[in-house]
Amino acid sequence: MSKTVNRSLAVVLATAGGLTAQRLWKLHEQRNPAAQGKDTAGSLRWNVVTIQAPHELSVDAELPDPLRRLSSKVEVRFRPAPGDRGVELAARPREGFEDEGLRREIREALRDSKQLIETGEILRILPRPEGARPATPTGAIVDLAERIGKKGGVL
Amino acid sequence: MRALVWNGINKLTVESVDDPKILNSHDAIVKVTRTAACGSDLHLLAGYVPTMRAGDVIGHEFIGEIVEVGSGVTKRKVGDRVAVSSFISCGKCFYCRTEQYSLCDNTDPNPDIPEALWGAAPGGCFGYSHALGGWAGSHAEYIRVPHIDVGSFVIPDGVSDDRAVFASDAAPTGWMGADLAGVKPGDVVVVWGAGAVGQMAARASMLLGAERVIVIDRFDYRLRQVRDVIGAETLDYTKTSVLAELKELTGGRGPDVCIEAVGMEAHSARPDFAYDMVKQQLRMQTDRPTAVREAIMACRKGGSVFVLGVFGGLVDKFPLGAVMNKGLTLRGAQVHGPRYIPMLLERMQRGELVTEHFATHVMPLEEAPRGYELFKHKQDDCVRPVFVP
Repeated sequence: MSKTVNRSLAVVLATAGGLTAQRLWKLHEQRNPAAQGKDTAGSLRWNVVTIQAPHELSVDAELPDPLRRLSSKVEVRFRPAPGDRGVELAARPREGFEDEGLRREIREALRDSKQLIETGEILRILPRPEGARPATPTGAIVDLAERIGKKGGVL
Repeated sequence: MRALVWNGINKLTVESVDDPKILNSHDAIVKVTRTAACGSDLHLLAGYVPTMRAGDVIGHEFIGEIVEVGSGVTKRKVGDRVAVSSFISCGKCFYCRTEQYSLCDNTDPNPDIPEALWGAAPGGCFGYSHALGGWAGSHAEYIRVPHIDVGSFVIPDGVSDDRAVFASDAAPTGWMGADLAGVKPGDVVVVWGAGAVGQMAARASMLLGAERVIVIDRFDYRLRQVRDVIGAETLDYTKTSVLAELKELTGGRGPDVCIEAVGMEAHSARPDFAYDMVKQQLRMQTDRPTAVREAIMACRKGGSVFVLGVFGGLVDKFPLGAVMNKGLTLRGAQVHGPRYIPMLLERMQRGELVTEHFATHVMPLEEAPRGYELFKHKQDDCVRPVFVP
């Protein structure tokens, strides 16, 4: 086998290994109530971003658009961040709406809200100059990661 | 337009792709006049950064002329000749306000990838995989630059293109290593790696008052540049025991500051190199920490080690015991370009900072695959290929 084929195989194996590890992690989370969107007191966990903005924003009832769109299913909390770091903007599903799909929407809405307040607009990436994107196993993983870019992660 | 596209491991082609467009009000389109290949691009080429995608336009070190600006741009105008920071920074978030520009909160549209890898997402970088945003790179005729007011700097008259292009990435990266490692007058500084970034870290250390600066490499043509152009001392690690040599050179103490400018594809004459190589090829570790390991072992008690070389993930046999028991300060960062570029351009204008000797192979963009070949295999004494679109 050529070096490139070997290396491609190694990449595929490593990716498969990563996916297995992710699966095991999910199983661990299912067995561990503290990791299931609940804190140690049993309350629903907040997703939070910190925004460089004056503390007055904490009492401003005006929600940024991305969060206002979710307001029927999501509760939102502002509070001053420590040490001049602006404002903490937190959101979590309202009672009865808790699911992973909504969590993903919350992460994206929080990140977009932060960008809107700090920079005035949401940064766009597409369309961008690019060559052909042939379908490959590893390419599919990167494409998926990019599709859910702001919905995933550990925010 | 024409652009250099990554099509898989060790596969680069120059292709016709769509022109970039203004998508946000703070964007500009820059016509690229010089774009350099960086040692960290070699990691992309070799497939060590798993979030590359066939079709990606690479390149992150460049200068050019602004040809179009968005409605929100206030500090730059069409016609400006600019050096552009490789990392993209919004200028408004906590990290940008505290001059930690590569940690920008708002410029990576795919934070899920770095958050899974590292626990948090740094800023986006041009042409450096989808983990750092999936931004189209600079090895192209034109490039879209978001937040142009923050990341670009007008090149002073009298600074040549071949000198200025390295103000984009190599010079600020090297300078940052010396600055954030805390180099001060009287220090003995050792730099691992005599590429452009290592040479810049050495020059910065000298300008910050270091008493002795020693650069380690295995390529004689790069070590010659260190001696002749930068004015620092050199060590060839294939001809000596680095740890023994450094002990002797530093009165038995070890260097005060160790700067690693090598990265995840390090080489060494020591047996742990073979171990790192096998583990990396089997993907049991993502990176070869061979040079970092040596820097940590060499460093004096209470000294400082700075990691400038690019690393992606996990390494094995890391001398954490040495970090703790010797009381070391271990730091790293991607380049905070806007913090240093204006000062570096002034130094370039005054002749204090010379960089054009890195541009050993200036060639048309159409020949970029050949340039990468020369650079990767260190043929024809290639320090850096620089492409002219």
